[in-house]
Amino acid sequence: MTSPFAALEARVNAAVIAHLANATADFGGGRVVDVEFKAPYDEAMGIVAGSAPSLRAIDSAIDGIGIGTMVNVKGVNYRIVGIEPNDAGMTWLRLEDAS
Amino acid sequence: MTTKRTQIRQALVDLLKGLASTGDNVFGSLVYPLQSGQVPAILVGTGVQEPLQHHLGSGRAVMQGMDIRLELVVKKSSTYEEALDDLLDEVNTRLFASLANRTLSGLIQPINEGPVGEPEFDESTDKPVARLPVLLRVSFTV
Repeated sequence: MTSPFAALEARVNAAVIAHLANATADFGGGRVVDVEFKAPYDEAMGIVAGSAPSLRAIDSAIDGIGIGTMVNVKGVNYRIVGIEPNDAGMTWLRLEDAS
Repeated sequence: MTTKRTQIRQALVDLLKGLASTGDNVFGSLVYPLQSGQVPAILVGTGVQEPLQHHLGSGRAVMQGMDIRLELVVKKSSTYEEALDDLLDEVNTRLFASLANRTLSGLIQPINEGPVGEPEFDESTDKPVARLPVLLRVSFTV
């Protein structure tokens, strides 16, 4: 039986994605997931400009996704290089531009 | 008047332009971060300078030694270390292609190949960035 708080947590996470999702992530094989995507400006070593792309999704939507998996967001192919679960039902995936 | 340091730095920038990997992405001074179209790149910096010989009468230096640091920078999804190795080979081929190149057309005493530093990697942005320091020691008359 799902505990009351776990059920609440799942509803909150679903509401967060419903309100904040700004992209869909296509993992291939028909697996398309609503995600919160961001790619703010960042610099490497202080000398090379770039961005730090990442996406956040509900854990159950990205179950089985691992490091190295390819995902297309907003027409760009990315490789997943980091998986950062928050242990409350949501996970940030750190992305690398695979082009 | 353009100082000898500036002349040497600029001559190295000019000499290293046109390589297959970096094209015109060779910079003598870096204030702002390199943008996407500016990598791969070579950064040329002049460092420590010290007198090697002095004029007996005036006490002024007649021969100076100076460190030059080349930073080879690449940004690639994969094989970035190999890209640095290839770029290093291109740089050495250009630097040591002739006596004119080794002396920057007479500005300095012939350059000898110097040590290559530890490569550094940063994977915090959209593609990994790697850089390799190459150290040169030059001497010149003033």
